[in-house]
Amino acid sequence: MRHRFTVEYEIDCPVAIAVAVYLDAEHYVFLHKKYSDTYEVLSYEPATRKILIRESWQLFGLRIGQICMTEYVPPAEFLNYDIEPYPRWLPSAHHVMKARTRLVYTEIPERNSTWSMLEIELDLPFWLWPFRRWIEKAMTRLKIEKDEQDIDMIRRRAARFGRENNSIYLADHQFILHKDDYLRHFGPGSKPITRSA
Amino acid sequence: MRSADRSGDASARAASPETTGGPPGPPDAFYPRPIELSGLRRGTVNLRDLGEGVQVVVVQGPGRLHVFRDVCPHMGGPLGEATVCKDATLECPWHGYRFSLDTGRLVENPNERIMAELRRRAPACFRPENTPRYALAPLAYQVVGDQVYVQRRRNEP
Repeated sequence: MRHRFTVEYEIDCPVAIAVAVYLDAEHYVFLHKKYSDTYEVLSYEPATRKILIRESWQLFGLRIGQICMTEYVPPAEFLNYDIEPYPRWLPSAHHVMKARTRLVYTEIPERNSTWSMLEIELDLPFWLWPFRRWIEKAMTRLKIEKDEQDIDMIRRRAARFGRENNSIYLADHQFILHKDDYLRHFGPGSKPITRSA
Repeated sequence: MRSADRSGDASARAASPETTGGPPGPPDAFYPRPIELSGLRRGTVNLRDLGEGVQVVVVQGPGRLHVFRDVCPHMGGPLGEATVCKDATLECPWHGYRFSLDTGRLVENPNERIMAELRRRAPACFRPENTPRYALAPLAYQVVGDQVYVQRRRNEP
């Protein structure tokens, strides 16, 4: 049984910054360490922009987490799917529930800011169906909390370096995921990416 | 009035009964708001406002203080939320870059290890060999009784 919902709001920064922050994997286990303190790459296919990752955290002395396929669709779309619990024997909703997410950033031209739209699709067994709203609320809360941390970072950087300044992400020494694609779409001389989702 | 520069034993001077009415030199050489030495917590980051919108982090080391601006030189992260590590480094909360408390120099970018596989196969536009030498600039200070006066750096308001 399929349950779909979206989490949408405006992020007060240009799309180039929002995308850079998403691709800036170096902050994942530091700024967001409350949620996951370990990020491991299990496989990487540069040509398809797919990275299989394992994120985990410590709970009662046990390291638990999830394995997830992530995919970047330039210029501003991010997919997560094939989510599995880690370790495999761990009792988890992911054994019985399939989840896919699609995050799209689009430009709001009049304010040069970003509309963030996260689509979530859950494939639930019938016995989890009554809990779909509860799952939706929990996932929405998690998304908003993590975004708030990113937004704090974006605001502080903007106050110091300028709202549209993405030069640190373009710098050749700075590691971000799929950097060649980012440069192509948001680097010097790139065209505006205004489009509808 | 008794004062000591930053190389002195700050904790010993904290016990001094003397109190003073101002900085140990020209007032414009120091930020206006001193730090209360006895109010500093050990083994952690102390965020202090020096006035004029300037915030610093203060870490009490053995026999001295380490004072830096509350800004990571990498991306501007808030070092007031940094972690003091056992190896006498300060870890930025945004990207985990670790800086020596003694010298301010970048000691480690842990992402070189965490992202090793991705970095190794990154496109040619990623050139880590060009990484700038990020460093925190230690701020000089003088201790007068229980007050720590932080010196302005040249060319800084």
